[in-house]
Amino acid sequence: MSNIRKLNEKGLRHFADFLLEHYQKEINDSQLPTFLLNDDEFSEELSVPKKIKEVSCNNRFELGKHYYNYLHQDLTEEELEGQGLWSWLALFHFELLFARTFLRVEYYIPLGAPKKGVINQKFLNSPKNFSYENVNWQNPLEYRHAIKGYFHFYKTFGDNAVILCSSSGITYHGDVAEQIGGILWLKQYKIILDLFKSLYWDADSQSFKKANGKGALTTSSTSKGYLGGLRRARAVIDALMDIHNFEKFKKTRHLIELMGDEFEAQS
Amino acid sequence: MARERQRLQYTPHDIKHISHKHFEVTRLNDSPNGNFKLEISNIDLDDYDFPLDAELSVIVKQGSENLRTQEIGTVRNPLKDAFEVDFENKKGQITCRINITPKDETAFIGISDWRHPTHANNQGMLEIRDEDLGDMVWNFEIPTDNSAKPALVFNNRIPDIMELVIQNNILLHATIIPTCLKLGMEHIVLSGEGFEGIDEEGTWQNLWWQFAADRMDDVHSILESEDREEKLSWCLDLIKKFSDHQQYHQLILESLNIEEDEDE
Repeated sequence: MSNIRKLNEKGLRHFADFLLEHYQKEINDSQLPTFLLNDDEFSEELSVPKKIKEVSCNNRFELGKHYYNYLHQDLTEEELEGQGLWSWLALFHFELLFARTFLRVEYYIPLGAPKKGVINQKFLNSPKNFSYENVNWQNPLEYRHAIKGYFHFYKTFGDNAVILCSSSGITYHGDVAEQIGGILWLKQYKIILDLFKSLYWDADSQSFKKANGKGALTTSSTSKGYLGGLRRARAVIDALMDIHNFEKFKKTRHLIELMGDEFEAQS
Repeated sequence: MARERQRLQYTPHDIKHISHKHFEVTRLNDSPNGNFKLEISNIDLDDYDFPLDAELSVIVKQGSENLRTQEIGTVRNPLKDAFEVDFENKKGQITCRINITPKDETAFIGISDWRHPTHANNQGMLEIRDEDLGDMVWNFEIPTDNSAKPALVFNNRIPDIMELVIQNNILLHATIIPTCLKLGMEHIVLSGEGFEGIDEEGTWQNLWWQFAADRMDDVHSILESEDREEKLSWCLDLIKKFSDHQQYHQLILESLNIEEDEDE
């Protein structure tokens, strides 16, 4: 079996063009630019050669965990922070990760801060229906990348990161990863993910639920389902952080008590 | 979420407010990948009567979304080692707040206001830092808290601009530093009733007034003046003296390889 590689700038541009051209279209296998994977004109070996290993996984967490354990000690800063390796891996696993149509480029090419990255400008200047200019793209969007996102989630949260996966399967990014993964301050405190897990994680259905069995991911603060849910918990935690040292919470019980009856009812 | 955090200032606990005078935050060792080190020093909490075994921490923010807490020892024994900050998003202003938490409890009993770290390149009278200023090259900020220093802020979109101005490029240095000093001194002599804070130890106005008093013979007479033009003229004279002492004129000619015409 051949080695893992990384796309070079030319390869990245080609892959980005492919994604832009096929935005919201169905893609069949013959259209995939898989030649980028092994052509020296478009990709190159990692600084420490690594064989591709067979991996079977049920969700993005398992895929991210596999690559974290296999690669993290051998990657250079450029490989870790750049776009080439992660784009190569996404293209390599495209069939595994691809839903019927693809919607967002950052699932396949990690997009950091807007002005950073070899090809980010391409997306800023892309056709209107694909423009990222109007989506408040201030924070890095790398957490949305199907592999790099979970590589880092696993690094930060360990096996708890499995709760971020979409219950709809490996081809979906999922609301939990979006509502937690995109919030930088929240990811700095391990106790917070422990808290969300103890409040909402239903291992049987692999989804976030409230104690009454209803979904915990309502986003609108005017909706009835908002109270006691994940978004509301984020707001309450945000306020509590002004008053409490979150590094000192060792167990979730005390934190849940401080959050009030609304959340005690979920635990 | 970020907006909520900025708005909330209250606490239900009987919290003590720690003055900026009682600690320093210094930014060290910026690395090319955007990480940096922070050092908390000169922590003096004697005025507050905190339990000696209470724990000290510092919360570091960058922009509105990056946040982390670093434990830095106890009231009795604060840790002196600098710590590295590695945020996912490297953009935005860095601000810090120190906190005191009793041993085995989570609620703060003491907090400071948020303050910007002073860069290790600090020039004494100025806090020097960088942030994203869009297309502006630099900015000068007068603090609302008199115990903080006025800030010279460089645009972090311009690589190495801070080092260039502070250490290398005399043309930039000679243009920017006297301008900042002039703006700050004009603020002191004109703002409010004039000369606010110059006699109060620990204020930036007190520090700057010492700078002026060391260079000007007539500091006492200018204090009596109520003439705006006279005050502005006095500030200009001070900056001229400072520039003369720094030999900016000669240094710039040398940096441009221009020999001064001795006949002039």
